[in-house]
This record gives sequence, C-alpha cells and structure tokens, in this order.
Amino acid sequence: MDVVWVVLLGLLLGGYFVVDGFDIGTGVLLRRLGRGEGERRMLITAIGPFFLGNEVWLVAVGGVLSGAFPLVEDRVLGGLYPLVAAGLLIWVLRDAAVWFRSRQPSLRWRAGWDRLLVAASTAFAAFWGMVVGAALAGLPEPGTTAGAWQLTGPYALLWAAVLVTLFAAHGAIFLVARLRDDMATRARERAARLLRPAAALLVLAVGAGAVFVLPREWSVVLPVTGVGALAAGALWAADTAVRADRHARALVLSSAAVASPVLMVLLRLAAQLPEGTADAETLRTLGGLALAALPLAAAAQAWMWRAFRRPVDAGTVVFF
Amino acid sequence: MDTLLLARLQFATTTSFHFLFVTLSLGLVVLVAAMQTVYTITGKSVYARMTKFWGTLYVINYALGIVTGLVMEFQFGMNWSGLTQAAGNVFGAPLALETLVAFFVEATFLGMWIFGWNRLPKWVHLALIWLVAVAAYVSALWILAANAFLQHPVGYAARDGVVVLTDLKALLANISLTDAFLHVASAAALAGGMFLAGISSWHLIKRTSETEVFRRSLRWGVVAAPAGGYSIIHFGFLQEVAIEQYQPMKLAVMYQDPHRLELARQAMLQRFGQGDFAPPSWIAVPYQVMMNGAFVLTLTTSVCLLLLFRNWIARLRVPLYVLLAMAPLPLVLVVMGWIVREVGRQPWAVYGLLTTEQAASPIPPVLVLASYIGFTLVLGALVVLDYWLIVKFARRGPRHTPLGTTVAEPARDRLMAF
Repeated sequence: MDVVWVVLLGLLLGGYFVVDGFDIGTGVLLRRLGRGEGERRMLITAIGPFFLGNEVWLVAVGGVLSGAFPLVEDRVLGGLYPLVAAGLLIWVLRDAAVWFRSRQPSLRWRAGWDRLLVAASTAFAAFWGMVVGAALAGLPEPGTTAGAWQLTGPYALLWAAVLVTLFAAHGAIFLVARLRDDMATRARERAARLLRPAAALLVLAVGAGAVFVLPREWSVVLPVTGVGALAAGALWAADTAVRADRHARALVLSSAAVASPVLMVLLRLAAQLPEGTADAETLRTLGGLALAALPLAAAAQAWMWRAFRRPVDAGTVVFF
Repeated sequence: MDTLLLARLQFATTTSFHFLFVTLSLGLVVLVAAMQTVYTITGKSVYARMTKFWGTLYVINYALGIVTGLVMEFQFGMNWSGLTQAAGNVFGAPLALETLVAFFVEATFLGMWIFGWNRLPKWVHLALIWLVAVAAYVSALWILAANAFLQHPVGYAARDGVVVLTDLKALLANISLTDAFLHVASAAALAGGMFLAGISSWHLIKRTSETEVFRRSLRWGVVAAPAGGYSIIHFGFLQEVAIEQYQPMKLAVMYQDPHRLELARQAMLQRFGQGDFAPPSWIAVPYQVMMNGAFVLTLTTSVCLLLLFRNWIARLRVPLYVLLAMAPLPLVLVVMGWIVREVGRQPWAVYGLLTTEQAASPIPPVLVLASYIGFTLVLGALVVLDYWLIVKFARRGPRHTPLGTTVAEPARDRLMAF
C-alpha cells in the first residue's frame, strides 16, 4: 500500500512539474517572446484554458502529503520553512499577475503585471530548483529547520539555474504547439537556444551532486545520477527534434526531462519516505475513495486538453 | 512574541481572508448556474447578460479564494506540526480527499467554463458550471469535515499513542459537521443573494441602462437572501444543541450565563482534571454580532420580498438604499461566526486530545513572524485590489463583460472600459 501512495505522490508532483512547467516557462519568456501588449495576451491565452487545471496538481500534492505522508509533510514544510514561505508568496504573486493583468484596459497596468509575471515565474522556477537542491542534500532532522547554506548555498543556486532554464525551454516547446506563424517561429528559436544549455546545466548539477552532496552510497548515487544522465540525453534529443520541426516528440522529451528532478528527489529520499506514511489502517480507509477519484480527475484533465487542443487563433476566447 | 501566538494570528488572518471570498463564491456559483440554465432553456438574451455579468464578478472573486486557499493548505504543515504528528492520520484524510475528489475537478472545469464560451456546445458549457458548483460544495463539505474533527473528534482510534483513521463515514456523520455545513451553505445563499440585491439596487438607484437585467437580478437576490437567512438561523440554533453536548464550555461562554458556566466548569473538572478549559470570554461579542446581524438581514430581506409585489421595492426607493448598504454585511457575519467556532474551541486544537500549544511547530518565532508579515501584506493588498476590481466591474454593468471575449476583439475589450 505504501508503494501505491509513493507512486501516486511521485506522479502528482512529476505531473505538476510537466503541466505547470508550461505556465512557468511561458511566464519566464513572456516579455521576450511577446512584442507589445497584444502578443503578450496571446501568450497568456495559450496557457489560459489549462492554467487552473495545471496548478491544481500541486494542490493535490499538498493533499496527498497531508493525508498519506503527514510526517514527511512536516519535515519538508518545517525543514525548509523559509523557502516554503517564500515559494508560497511567489506562487500567490504569479497567480495574481495572471488573474489581474487583463482586468484594466490601461497599457501601463498590463505592462506592470506582465513584469511581475516574468519576475514571479522566474522566481518560482528558481524556488523549485532550490527545493530540489535542498531535498537532494537530505531533509533536515525532524523538528529542525535547514540552514541558509542548504537552502541558498551554491548547490541550491545551481539547481535554481537548471530549473529556470529547463522550465523556460519546456514552456517554449509548448508554445510552438499552441501558437501560429511568427510567434511560433520565435518560440521555436528560443527553445532551440535554451535546450542545450539546459542539458549542460543539468549535467553539471547532477555531477556536482554525485561528488559533493549525495551520501556516498551506490544505491543512492547510481540511480540519481542515472536519471540525471537520461534527462540530459532527453534534452539533447529534444533539441534535435525541435530543429527538425518534430514538436510532439520534443514535447514528450522535455516533459520527461522536466519531471526527472522529482524522480531524483524520490530516489534520494526513498529510505526516508516509507517511515513517513500514515499507518496502514488509515491508508486503507482513505485509499478506496481517493483512488476511485483518480480516474475521474484524469478524465476531467483529458477532456480539458482535448477540448482546447486547437492552437490559438482569432476566435479563441481570452480571459486572463 | 512567541511562535504559538504568531502561528495563531497567521492562521486567523489567512482563513478570515479565505472565508470572505469562498462564501461569496459558493453563493454566486449556484445563482450564476441557475441564470445560465434559464438562458439555455428559454434562449432569452437578458439571462445571457445576467450570466455573463454576475459570472464575471464570480470569477474575479474566485481569484482570491484560490490564492488564500493555496497558502492555507500548506500552513498546516508549516506551523502546526504537533497537530500533524498527533492527529495527522485523521485530520489529513479529509484534506487529501478534498483535493483529489473535489478541488481537482472544480479548478479544471472552471477553467474550461471561462474559456469555453461560444466554443463548447451550450449544454456542455452549462453542465460545466453545474459541475463546478457541485464540486465546490463537495469541497466545502470535506474541509468542514476536517474542521469538525478538530471540534469533535470521531472516526478514529488511538493505537500506541498515535491516532489512526478507522471510519470515514463517521467523519462525515459528525454532529459537528452536518448542521455546520448546512449553516455555511445557507450563509453562502444569503451572501450571494445580498450581493445580487445590493449591486442591482445601485444600478436601479442610478437609473443606469440595462434596467431589465437589474430588475430581474434584484428579484433573484431578494428571494435567495431571506431563504438563506431563515436557513442560517435554523441550522445555527440546531448547532447550539449539538455544541451543548460536545463543547458545553464553548456554549456557556457564548451565552455568558453564570449558571451554565458553573455547570460547564464542573464538567471540565470531571473530564480533564484541574486546569482552565474555557475559551476567552470575548467570543460572546462576535456571537452576538453574528446572531443579531442575521436576524436583521433576514427580517429586512423578508420585508423586501413582500415589497416585490407590484415592484414596490423599486418604486419606494428606500429599500434599494437599505439593500445596497447591507450588501457586505453577510461577509462580516461569516467571519464573526468562524471566530466564535474556532476561538471557542480553545484551548484545544483537537478537542480533548491536543491543546493548541502542543499543536504548534517548534519553529523559531522570527521565521513565523517574517512569514506572517509577508502573507498578511501580500494577501491583504490583493484583497483590497480584488474588491476594488469587483466594485469597478459591478459599476460598469453588463455591457462589455470580459467573459466570452475573443482574441479578435481585444481592441473592444480595451476600449470599452474607458
């Protein structure tokens, strides 16, 4: 039963990185890819119909943590307290920028929120990098909070750079599929420019981790490094695919790469996680209903992606 | 200041912000879904304009409900690790189910509803807003189930010093849940009804265009408000009967009745031994405000309901001013109600099992203070901004609502606002 919940947690958090990665990446690139207010609104419209359905994956991660992993939740949220508080504030600001930017006609109003969206999306990507870095270094002991070195040291900052680049590249590939003509071309060029640096940074971070940070146990170092190498390879292949105009393939590859840090963290913490699950009786009582709800949630998501699969055009509804 | 006080203030501030917005969302979503249903069946354009106008205000209001909710979900793990360690097995279950069973589909379908205007078949589009509404109430039910467990723990067993979940049905049949859920749902109806009535009154007072939209909306509001009002009073008093059984001290303090206080003190002594198990006596004040406010609103809107006969309500004018002035009152009362329920549970985090002091995380106060200041400033500013936008869009009226605008018309979307 424990395994089921660990897999569910991994799928939800990995899925969150993939789908909200589209939104984070689009936010990071908003002012570079969009020239003028109109184009920027097109970019936000490209993520618009999915925006709420994407970030809800993280809400579900929070729910599964508190329901099935109460003690892990404690150690993550308490252990990384300052980082988590900052991340929540950034998340709130990112959402506020999306919700409010088009609610006033003034160009100054919209430009201001666009700037905030870029800043908050970039900070949000960096936040996830720092969480990954801090988690790979190991969660602090129960009841303690990690120090500044673990949260904002060079290793955490290196991961921040990895995820900012990675989310931006991932978002750019997504935008190629969602837009047409000139803007799609610009997104494609941007993706091609970001993918190899993202792969290089990832190799650097995984290498530095294996040498300086991870515990010296083959059972940890090997799988984590292996996943990192595969992810870097996927990014390299995605770059080739983008240059050959094979976007669906590129999107699958970049999704795998974006989700890979979650797998690395789970592999790193594998020894700590099972101790943190709720007791078997609780999980049994909770399990039936929770697992029964999953197909429903999956169906809703599938329907959403299908209903809005057409690229943005003149008839597309705008809101955000 | 110590961690405990700061953590409590942080929770109280975030939840109060949250309740302001989710109560109105819960009330409006049903009204908007009903408007869209009438439009889909009759095809009358006035209902399309009503749906889009009130739907716009609903989604603007929704934004703050989401962002405050996100913060709250994670604050439990950050500031209340004692609660997670002692009772996380049980308390976490309804929170997990809320996200997986309800909020996941609610958010997904709301996005589809916002972006599906004129793009999805109209019956499908209608179904979406009803699914959002159903999911919103299921979501409220699970959240209240978690809260009801704190008020009156049921459905668990203590094994080796840890509390485990044994009976999910018992969590949902909690006497602290059923009436409270219906009380909250009724408050949503009152808040939504007053919102419709107040804003419609403003337009009728100012004699803006679109009289038909606001004449009808006023009627909808004036019907929904007293219906919610009587229901609130009913389920409010029913709750007191239950509270007398499971938290006698809370009820005694609410009433400030010396005889009850003495009896409750003896009951506490018998159950928990020596110690102070009374919540602060000032909760009697928010209790009185909530109760009398609900009476006033219910009576006033009932009179307004009678005045709908031959449209006396608009011809007399005075009722319009009264409704406009009272429109925000339900939200104040909701916050008062939650203060009574939550502060009234003190000194317990989980009644009889875990005190609030034991529930707080061992986090250095400076960190809790910094995050408290951060959340309060950012969320507070967004609350003000969101209400400012709601007022702005409410005054603008049903022409040029942003819902259903397409990429080809952003110029119109920009121009119209001037």
